[in-house]
Amino acid sequence: MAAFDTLFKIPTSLSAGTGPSVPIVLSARVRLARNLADRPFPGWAKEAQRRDTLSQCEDALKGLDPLNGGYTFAMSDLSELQKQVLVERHLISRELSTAGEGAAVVVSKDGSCAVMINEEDHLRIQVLQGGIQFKKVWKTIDALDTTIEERLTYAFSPELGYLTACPTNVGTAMRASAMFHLPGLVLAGQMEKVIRAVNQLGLTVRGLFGEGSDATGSIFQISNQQTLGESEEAIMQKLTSVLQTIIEQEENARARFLEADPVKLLDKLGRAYGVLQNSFVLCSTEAMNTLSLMRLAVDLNMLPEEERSLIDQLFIQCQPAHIQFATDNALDSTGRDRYRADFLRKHFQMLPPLNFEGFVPSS
Amino acid sequence: MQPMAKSNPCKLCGKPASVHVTQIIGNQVAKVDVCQVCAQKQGMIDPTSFSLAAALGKQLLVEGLKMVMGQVACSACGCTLEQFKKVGRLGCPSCYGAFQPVLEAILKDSHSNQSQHRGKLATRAMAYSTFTKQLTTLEIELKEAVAEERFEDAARMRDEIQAVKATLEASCMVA
Repeated sequence: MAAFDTLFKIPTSLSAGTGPSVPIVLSARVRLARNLADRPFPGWAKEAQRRDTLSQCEDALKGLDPLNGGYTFAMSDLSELQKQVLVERHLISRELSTAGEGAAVVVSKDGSCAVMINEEDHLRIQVLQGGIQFKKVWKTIDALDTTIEERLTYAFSPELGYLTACPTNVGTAMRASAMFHLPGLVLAGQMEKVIRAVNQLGLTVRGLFGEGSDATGSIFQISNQQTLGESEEAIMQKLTSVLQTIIEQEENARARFLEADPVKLLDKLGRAYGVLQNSFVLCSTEAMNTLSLMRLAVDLNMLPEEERSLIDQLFIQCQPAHIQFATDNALDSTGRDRYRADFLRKHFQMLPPLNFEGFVPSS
Repeated sequence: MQPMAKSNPCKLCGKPASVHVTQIIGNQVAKVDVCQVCAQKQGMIDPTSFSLAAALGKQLLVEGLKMVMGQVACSACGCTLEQFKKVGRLGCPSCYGAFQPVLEAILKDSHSNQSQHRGKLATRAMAYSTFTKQLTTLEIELKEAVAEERFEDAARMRDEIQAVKATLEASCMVA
């Protein structure tokens, strides 16, 4: 499929590829769930109703900024592998990839905006940006949502807000989430404490690929849980202030680690660098964990600053479906581990050695 | 009273029940069977002073409601409470009205006791629901006017109904 190949070539990155890549913070995402009035939710709808929902939503989304000039994919037209690629890019959910008749996604040209149709709700609108400027993300998604509402009649109640298939999303039907790189807190063994504290504030912490995924690469997503009784602005404000605290905690954890046991940290970074430069077989978990340490090395000025955004791209490129698709579906799992090691080795052999200057304690 | 083939046990003491109370709460119907003795004790004989909630305690009432509602379906889409509990998802937007008593507890639980939306408003959707409510009211009034042979009123209402329908169609609000 030509459109999919074009999409596949768009540079994709953990920090969303928009704006500069910065330490600790990867990206901010806002997702809105919306449903059409007077018709069953996708999970309860008949196939014909789902098809009708799809055509109504597709018509409504046509020509809208920022989706204009983008891509539309019906799940039924995609191979399992192509769907998995979209999941790895966070453009669709696992649920959409297994959804039946009428399931589709509309993606903006740069991949920063995606609208899923016939997932759990009729519409799941998402906007993603590098950094954690929720205000900017909200401005984009709010405008898009308002234009869609001019074309479709949403299921809405003045008391309960936007009505959703699952009552836990009703109200603003918004999930705001930030993606973080927290190797300092993980190395210091403090992440569990942080997760507990964050949970107590009514926020959820998950791994890179959402519910049930682990903390590979020290990457975490933090998002609001409550959707009823708070305005979108209040939710984002609360989230942002918690996120600021987490950034400070991560900075402190790094500083403490460097002070207390610099050799241990330098050894970890140096070994990770060695693995990436010299391996011939690399599974995706090891690749993620070593790349994570290299991102930390950039933050500590041991590698050139511009390397950070390249590492953010490598994170996605070393995912299994991305490798499988790039190699025309020709590899088994061992083959993928070799291919992954090859392209990471080629990339890291081009880099200057880690600059340990100023870190090595005099012995 | 007709003799029954098999009597349900009293919800309060377990003896065969002979009093059957039905109370409507929200959009839902709760039914309870009790024996004569318990009915008297709870003052159920005088229905104006009696509340199922007070007699059975909130928990029992919720249980009772759930039992009844397990089989009750949303009139718009046919989804039952049982099905909702199985998959955790409602059938359609109208389910929020149909299962309101049970949903209320779930909503409060997952949204720190909040029950009022405070965010963005879907202005068009709100106008749509205002117009459709208006339409329903007018149609009822029209029927009453016709039944009471107030034909002038009926004609006026028919015009009003036409006008509201035209507004709905003009703004493409027909979902």
